[in-house]
Amino acid sequence: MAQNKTQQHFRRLDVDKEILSVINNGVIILDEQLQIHYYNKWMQLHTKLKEDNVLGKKLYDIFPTINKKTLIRKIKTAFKINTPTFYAASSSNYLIPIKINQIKNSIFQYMQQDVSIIPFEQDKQFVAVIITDQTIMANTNALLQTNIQKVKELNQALIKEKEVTEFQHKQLLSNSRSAAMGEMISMIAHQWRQPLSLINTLIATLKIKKELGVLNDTILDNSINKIEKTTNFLSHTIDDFRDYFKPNKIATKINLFNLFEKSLFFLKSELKQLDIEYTIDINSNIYIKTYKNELLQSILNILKNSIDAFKENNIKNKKISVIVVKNEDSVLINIEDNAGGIKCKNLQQVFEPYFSTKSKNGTGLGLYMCKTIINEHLHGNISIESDENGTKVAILLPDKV
Amino acid sequence: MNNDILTEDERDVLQELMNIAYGGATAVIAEMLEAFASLSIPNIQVMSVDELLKTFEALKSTSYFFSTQAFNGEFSGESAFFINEESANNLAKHLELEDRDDLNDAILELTNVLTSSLTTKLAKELETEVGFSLPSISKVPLSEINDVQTFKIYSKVIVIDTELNFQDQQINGKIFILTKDESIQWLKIKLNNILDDLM
Repeated sequence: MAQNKTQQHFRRLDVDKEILSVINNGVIILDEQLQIHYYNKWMQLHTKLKEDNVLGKKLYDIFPTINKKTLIRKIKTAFKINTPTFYAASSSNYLIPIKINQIKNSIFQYMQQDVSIIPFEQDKQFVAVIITDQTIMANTNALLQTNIQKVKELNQALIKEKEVTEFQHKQLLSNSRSAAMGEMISMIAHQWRQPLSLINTLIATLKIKKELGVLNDTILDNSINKIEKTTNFLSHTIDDFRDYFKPNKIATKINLFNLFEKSLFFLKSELKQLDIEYTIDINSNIYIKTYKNELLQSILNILKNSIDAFKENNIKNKKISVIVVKNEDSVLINIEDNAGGIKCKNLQQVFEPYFSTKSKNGTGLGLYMCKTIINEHLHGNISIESDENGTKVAILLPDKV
Repeated sequence: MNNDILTEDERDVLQELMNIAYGGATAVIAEMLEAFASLSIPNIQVMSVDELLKTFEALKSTSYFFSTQAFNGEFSGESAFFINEESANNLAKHLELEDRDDLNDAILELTNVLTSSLTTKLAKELETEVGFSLPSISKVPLSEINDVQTFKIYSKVIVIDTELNFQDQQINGKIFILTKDESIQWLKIKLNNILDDLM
């Protein structure tokens, strides 16, 4: 019975030894002076040192790179707390220098190791130093860190890019406003040309009549009345323009027929000058709730484009026609001209900012502004189609913003 | 019996056990670092992970070295050790460390010693054993503490926090021993056994 127990004990020891020699970890047994008492097969293979050459020797004599002080501290601490102490590959890289040959592991020259220093409980003389190869993990970590860094940098670049874009957008808006202002001034100029020349003529006539000595009170009164009426008209025009070029803060219910009448009022002198026929086909009681001035600005912009196109192309029977159709909960506005159309290669770009084909005074912001206003402000849609005869712009608006 | 929260009696017993454990830990650390160290009396709280993260935020230093170590067994969980940059630098000076890797290693060692000595003592009183994983360290700006995934696996945690102070060297850190949900159940049973014995 006693013999049997001894046999079992021996067999268990053999199993332990067997495992220690085939295990995929380095195992060294040390005392507190760092003298080597055991050196397993894994260690022998990886360090190319035979057991006989290392047993009884000090670990730091064989591997001079080892920090003696730190290792002794760790061993003492392990004894003291009676639980393992560690070296982590992430901060210590390795304890035993083992060169790695794999080309794949290009980041590290030496095997990265997690090391556990395990105290033998009973006698407090020996510790087992267990070494685990963590090179692959360390490689992955290093790669991950590089990628995290890259992502951070890209993120930074993105934030910067966004700031730039926002700045450009603001600038664009402010440029758009200036462009709209320019349009307004050019329209006012057209409106004013005729009344101003009327005033001029009246004054010149008065002058001549005075010099000839034929000026009487009736003529003077008549002329002054006419001049007064005309300057009132001029002043009224300014007010009208100012009113219509102020952005609306709230949406109101508007009559589309009246809106197109207004557009005619702003453009009639220019239309007349160029001999353009302007027809509006619209039911007089179509109402929608929207931002009036923004919509009028957009429509004027499109009509101005047609007028400008007529200036560039010599066309007989110039025509601009507007057809407004009311659907159940939307309104479709079609504006069509016969001004020669937009070249196919330009058609895709007409809504882009700073794109212009006009030979002079084109800011390239008109249609961009229209699209921005109609999409973002009026929650509608604008599309454009064109052939060699002319251009057709379609605006779809909800009946309530 | 509430499943999540410790009763007052249970908390008292745990506090007593921790008092025994932290005394031993202090001695080990003082010896390891050859300096006069003190640990504050452990403070025991039960909280949700959200509350825990707020506690970390309340530490208020901008940049911390932050290390964690898991422990396993019937009593299992994780420890989290925080040491601010200034303290870490003082620790480096005290240990005459040469570079950042050495400092990381020293912080890991401190974490390991604190975790081991606190939990093994406690485990012994609770008649069980614990095993330890390798500790790991990261330098985390406190603003990113919410991104530390490691704590998300806990729903409720028992937090045992104690402050480590080296008066002469001006080193202080804070360690949290966090226990997992099922460990809380196990702990409650054990604490109640002790309570029954005392009655």
